[in-house]
Amino acid sequence: MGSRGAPSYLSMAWMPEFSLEFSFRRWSAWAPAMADVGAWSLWAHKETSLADHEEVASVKAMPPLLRRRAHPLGRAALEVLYAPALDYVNQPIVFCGRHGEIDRSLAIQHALAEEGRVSPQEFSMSVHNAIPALFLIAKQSQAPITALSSENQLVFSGITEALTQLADGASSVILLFCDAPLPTLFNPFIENEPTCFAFALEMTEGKDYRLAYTPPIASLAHEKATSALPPASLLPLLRFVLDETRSALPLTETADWQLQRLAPETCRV
Amino acid sequence: MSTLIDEIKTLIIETLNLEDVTVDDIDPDAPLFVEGLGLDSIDALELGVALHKRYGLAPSEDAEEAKQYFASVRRLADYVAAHRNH
Repeated sequence: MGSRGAPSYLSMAWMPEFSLEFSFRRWSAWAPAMADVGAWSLWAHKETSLADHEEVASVKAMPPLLRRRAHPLGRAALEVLYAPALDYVNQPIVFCGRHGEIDRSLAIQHALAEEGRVSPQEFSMSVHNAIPALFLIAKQSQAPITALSSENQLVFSGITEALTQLADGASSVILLFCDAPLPTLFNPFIENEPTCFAFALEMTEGKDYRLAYTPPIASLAHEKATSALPPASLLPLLRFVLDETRSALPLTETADWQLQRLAPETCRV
Repeated sequence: MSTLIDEIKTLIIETLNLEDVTVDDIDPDAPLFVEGLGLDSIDALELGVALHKRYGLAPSEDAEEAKQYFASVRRLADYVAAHRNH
């Protein structure tokens, strides 16, 4: 525009810039029996699956007096936050879990019904943001935390929230997802995850991925994407990021919102 | 009394999920809160509930009194021995 000598007020520079493009710079993941990056790579390419296993994350990096407060799901989340590969440096954390440590809430409700007295320790940890808060207490950090929960489309909500934080000035945001099989009481009601897991992605400005909206009618891939979409599970996001042969991940039930891969080589595995 | 002291140490370890801490690690005369074991106010509430369940102790209304008997395992054992209902 400038080359034709147009007045500067005609340029788009006055518009607030907001891009739905971004990158994932670092990542970490934890699940039982998944020892290293190689194990996750095999899983991402569907050569292995996650096993239901009793192993609990050790979280050795956290002082024991704080670590003791976390249950297995929280420990998985803490393990990925402490992972050297993530190199956490006081970024905002967007903590996403479909149910959180629901075994804790269930135990509190049982205690309330049976004894009328609940454990203060369990109660204090039963809010959804307790796990990332425990991490920030240990780190003596005042970074902001957002804790999100929804049964469906949580990956979409998490990415949207992290993007708004980037747009608001954060140079990088930690997007954390975790989930675990629910207590058996809930079995009739819900699609369960295979095992306890957590993964974190460091979202930064960049041009490796795009959050894209396509009206459903115009989307040729719509039918196909809808049938392939598990709406609730969080794991397809990690699989998509690690499997560079895939170009798009549907994020909503109608697949009108997609996560698209722009660059062939993205996350540094 | 030493049996009660060990019993209370075990109660503390189990109630507060103190991993890697054994009965022998806890000095009966060391402070339980902030220094010493490094417990916090939520632990105090938790211990209060556990002491009620185990020994039938009513939670103290008097904060000063609570401070006294929560000062160390030995003080707590003395208090339990004097006030227990079961």
